[in-house]
Amino acid sequence: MLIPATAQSLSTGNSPTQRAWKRFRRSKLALVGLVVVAIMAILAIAAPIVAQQDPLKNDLLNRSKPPTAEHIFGTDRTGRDVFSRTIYGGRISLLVGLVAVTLSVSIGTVLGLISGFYGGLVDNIVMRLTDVIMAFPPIIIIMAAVPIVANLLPSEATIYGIMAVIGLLTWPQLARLIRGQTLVLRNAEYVIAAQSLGASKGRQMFVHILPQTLASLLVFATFGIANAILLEAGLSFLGQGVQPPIPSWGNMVETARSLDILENLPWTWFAPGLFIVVTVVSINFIGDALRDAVDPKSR
Amino acid sequence: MVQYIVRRVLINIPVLIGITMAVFLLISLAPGDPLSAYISPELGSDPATLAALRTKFGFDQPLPVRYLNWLGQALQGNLGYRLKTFDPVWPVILERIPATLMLMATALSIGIVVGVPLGIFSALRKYSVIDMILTGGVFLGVSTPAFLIGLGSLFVFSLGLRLFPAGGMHTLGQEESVIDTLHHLALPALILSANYIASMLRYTRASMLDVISEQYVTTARAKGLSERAVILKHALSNALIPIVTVIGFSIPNLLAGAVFTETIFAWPGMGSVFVDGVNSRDFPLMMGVTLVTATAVLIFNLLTDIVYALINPKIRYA
Repeated sequence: MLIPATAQSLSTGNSPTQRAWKRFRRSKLALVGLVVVAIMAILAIAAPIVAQQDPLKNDLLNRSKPPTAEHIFGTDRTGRDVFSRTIYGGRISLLVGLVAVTLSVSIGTVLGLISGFYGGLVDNIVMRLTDVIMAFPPIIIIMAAVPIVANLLPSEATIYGIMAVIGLLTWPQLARLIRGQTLVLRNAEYVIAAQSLGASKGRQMFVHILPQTLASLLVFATFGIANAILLEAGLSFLGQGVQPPIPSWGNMVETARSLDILENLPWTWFAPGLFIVVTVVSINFIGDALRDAVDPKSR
Repeated sequence: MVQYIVRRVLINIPVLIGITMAVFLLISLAPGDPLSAYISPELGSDPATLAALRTKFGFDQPLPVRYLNWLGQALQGNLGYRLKTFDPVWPVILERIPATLMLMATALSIGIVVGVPLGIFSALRKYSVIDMILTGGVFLGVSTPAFLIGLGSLFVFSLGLRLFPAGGMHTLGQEESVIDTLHHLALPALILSANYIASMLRYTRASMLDVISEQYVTTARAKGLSERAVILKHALSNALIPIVTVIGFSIPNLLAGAVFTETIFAWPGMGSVFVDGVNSRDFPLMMGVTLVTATAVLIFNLLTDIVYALINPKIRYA
């Protein structure tokens, strides 16, 4: 939304979005990050074309082979192609990140708006809820909740349970942020004007106030995706995330908890580990530049 | 000040009640017989006895009543019994707390001792090559999950160079000694501190940059103080105030990080017993750790608030 709208009319206009995009472009690291994330997304979407070998097929004649021309990242214990697994694993990891963040942004935005707009008892309840959720160390509450949610779902739906749990437990920071801005904006003259023209409460919140909070929402969502990818990887690393044989970056690294694999088959865990770090660093570069670009203080 | 502390404590009570409600909700949703949540297995296992126990302990009562029953037991230190070994949960956790605290305190100290000076240095040499390198390091440190740093270091230092032991807290078969424990502690603590050094550096740098452009710093310079005195006495003491809150709000992440480092290095703390509990679907144990860590976070937050008020009079009298 931000980028295409401005990219086509860069030289002419001078809207806030265009000025933000200009500031964003100044960060070389963010542009590199954007390219890397784009490549990761393309690899994930085009996985069946990029990775010709079956990520689930065991090849017992080619077990534990170091990288060769045929298997460029080598093969694992049961002879599966590590390159294919890394590419398909990216599909899962990125999807979990995207869905979880969409959920957490939706909840955080709506509750933040309502909390800030109505104030009083509603505000109090929502804010105490954020206090409670934020008191739990993230990976611990997620690890405690995932087995319970997974138990309620059929086993092939576990992955959706993981997305839901991450999304349901990471919204409080955004809700607080949006609430703070709403508290100020609900008394802004243009909102009062809309109110006096008879705009409903919902219209004031979602049509008049929400657009003003989009910048911080976008920054939160960017960092949130990186965070969700890390949470899924951590969860899978501890054996509670995406279940083998389906590959995810986290559960591929998990195999290295066996010292034998860690020491003797480094190629099986190095590639997915590197993909996690490169993706998350790139997203953080983008998030950092976005924050600088939309932060009024830096203008 | 007393009034301030009392107010902070009171504000945290509803949150604590909320935490217990959330944990109880998870317990009620967890599969398995809720009786195991706090009935000693020694009381019997045949259906008739269990049914009698269920009535006796009020499991046929509505949810709010069951919550109050459970809360009453939890307040007396009865967090239920482990499903496999039938050990009571609270002593198991209590026994693990010192190891986790030792790991966290060491990591916290390393984070402060390394991160703060580097952050000051980075701020004073803004946009220099070293600042850029440090900023790059911060990104890498924040973006690399603890388990990857852990595995990488285990690979290089323990398996490759054989400098550190690959796990545990003591060398088996050897008498326990401080040196031996420190040798086992070094690698996991360093790894746990990695993310922390990065965030300490980032916040110190930002806070220092904020302070340096203040007018009183310019005044100090104008009256001819040495640059050293300006930075160390005038700028630093104010720059460090927000850093205290950073220490506070990184406790949840430090606890989360401990789950990974303890698991990788078989460090006998709360984190590793929690992961054991999750892997064996030992719900009473999982919920016990969840409750204890959340309560710990709340207590640390309270302490941070108090320390913050002590060093920052603006808050105390607000």
